[in-house]
Amino acid sequence: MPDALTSNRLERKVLLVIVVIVLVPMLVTGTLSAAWIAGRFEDFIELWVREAAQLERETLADLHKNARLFADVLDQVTRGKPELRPGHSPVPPELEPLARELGISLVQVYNPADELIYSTDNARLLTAWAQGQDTAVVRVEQGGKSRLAAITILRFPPQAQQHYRLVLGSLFDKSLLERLGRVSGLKTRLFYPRDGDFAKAFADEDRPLKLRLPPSGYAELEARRDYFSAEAEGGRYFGLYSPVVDASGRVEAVLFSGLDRRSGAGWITDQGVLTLSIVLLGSLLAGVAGLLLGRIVIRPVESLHQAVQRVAAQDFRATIPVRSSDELGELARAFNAMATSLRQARDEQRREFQRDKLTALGELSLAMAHEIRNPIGVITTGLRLLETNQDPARVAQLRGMIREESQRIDHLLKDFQQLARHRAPELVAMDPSEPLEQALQMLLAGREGVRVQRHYRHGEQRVSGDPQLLRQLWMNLIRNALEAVGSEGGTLEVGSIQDGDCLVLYLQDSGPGIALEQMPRLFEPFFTTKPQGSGLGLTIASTLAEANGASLELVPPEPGRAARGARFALRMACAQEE
Amino acid sequence: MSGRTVLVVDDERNMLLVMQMALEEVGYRVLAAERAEDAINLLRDPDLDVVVSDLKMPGMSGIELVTRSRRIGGLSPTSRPRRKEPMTAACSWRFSCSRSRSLTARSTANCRASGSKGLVR
Repeated sequence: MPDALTSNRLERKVLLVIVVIVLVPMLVTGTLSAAWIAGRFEDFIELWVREAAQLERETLADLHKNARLFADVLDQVTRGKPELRPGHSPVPPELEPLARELGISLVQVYNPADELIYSTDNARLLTAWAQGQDTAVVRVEQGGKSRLAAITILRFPPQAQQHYRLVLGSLFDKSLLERLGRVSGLKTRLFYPRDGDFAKAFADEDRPLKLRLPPSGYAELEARRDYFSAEAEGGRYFGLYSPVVDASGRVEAVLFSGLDRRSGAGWITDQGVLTLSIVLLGSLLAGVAGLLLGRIVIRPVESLHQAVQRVAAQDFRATIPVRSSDELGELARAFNAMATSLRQARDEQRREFQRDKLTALGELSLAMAHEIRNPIGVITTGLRLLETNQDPARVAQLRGMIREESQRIDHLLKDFQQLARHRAPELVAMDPSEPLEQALQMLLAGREGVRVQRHYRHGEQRVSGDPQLLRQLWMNLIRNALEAVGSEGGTLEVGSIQDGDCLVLYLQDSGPGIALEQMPRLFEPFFTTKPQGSGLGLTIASTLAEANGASLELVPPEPGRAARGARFALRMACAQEE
Repeated sequence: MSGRTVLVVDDERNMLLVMQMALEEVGYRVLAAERAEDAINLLRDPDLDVVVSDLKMPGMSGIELVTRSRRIGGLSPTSRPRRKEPMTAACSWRFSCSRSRSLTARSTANCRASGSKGLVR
């Protein structure tokens, strides 16, 4: 659900909270349990490797045992005097089947001068054994091929100073080690003594692989003890190096048995991998839990959100499916009921608005008709009087009256036109209070009962506007305000406030204020609360404000404030500083 | 007394003048007033037969004038009793004439708001 992570803010938060709640303890327990599990498994693996290596060592020791057994048989058959002559096999023909059975595949004879006088198949030792050693692992060359042999060295006669040496050995190659590995399930390597060190058996002879151990490892081997390392052979194995010790106590070879870390149980002892696995598993569970929670809680909230937005956009058909009987379900039901009643109220309001508009239109037409009919009455009567009157002075007077009344109709219609279509504004930078002050001056002449309080706070600031249109705007508003305060007089408050980038001019009267239910329709054309009003005054004012790039609004009375009067605010964009 | 006497009250000067001219032409004696307050004094004229007044005027309204005229008519200060109470016709040109029905029907000529035509007749 990738979109759940990007689009749904609430769902993302829930997921985040769950992941945090789960992830932190998971990291702690994961790390601790990983350390414990890894420790336990390492112990277990070490034990296993040690036991398997023991098995391998015994297999290797069996080779020597066989040679020893064969030597005993040879000693008895030849009564302690085997035939040791150059070029002659010391093994009597009747013992050869036994030799094959026991795996004795290398027989050599050395004279007292330490010269090779006989060898099976012309084999030659490439590495020497140390003085006094009676068993050894050596490298043998035979027919151009290099092999290893586990040899047992016998002396004839045993107690003499000068003696022949009979070497009985089992040649073996890589397959033996592989067989050992198969038995124990471990990787088996053998290191034999070479050039004062140990070299890996069956490796490339030109570039012999040395035994690489830390000093502590060598010390353990010197002391004829096993050395275990969890990162043996370059970190690839859990490995045990065990010394193969001959009868004289020398280390004749080192046997390595290792469990490949990358195969099988290797990963289980890797704390990092283990911790990561536990944490990943936990996070996955947390994620699934989060998504489930999201489905149960967030989806209804989301559909509520969408429905609220639709209602906000005046689409009252929006409903929320009621999915459950819990609090969210109740919320959905309440919302649906609210949307329905809003829809009904809106429809009712529309019908009422249509009715009011028609009424207003009718009243306006009547008012217009009367305004025009009066001068027409004068004109008609004047014209009839002209027909009968001969007195030049009277005729001139009547003509003047007719002209005056015609002009009156003309002006009336011009004014009326201006309500709907005022001239294009000519914007100049001006003092915003100037048109307001002019309008006050014109309308307050002869109204001594009306006091004006001024609270201008815009200082020297200038705004862009058309002074004449703005004066007209203020005159409309002030006329309303004066009607509101009544003939007894009252107080008008004018002023300016800086609001961000905007300058707000306001006009407040001390009249009864505007009823709450009238506020939304105040600026509608033809809406009036006065029997003689045309319902166009505020509409014109609002239109004029828009023409000046400003907006006119009714500021609702502050709750609890003593002054109840209406307060109109003109929000103007300030002139750009030049 | 030659002809009848009419008191015309209207705050619009032109209207007042044409009404006066028209009424005089057909033989009425016309008393004219631009304000109801001025008309009050003229109500005392003993020969006054008819009052024609605009309803909506600054200051005292036509209705108030009619009410006053009736009171003055009833309590005439003149020693000689009136021949009859003056007929009053209050009319607003700017406003629906039917509103003048709020006056008592007995003494009110309910005019049609069609200029002075009906009165000239």
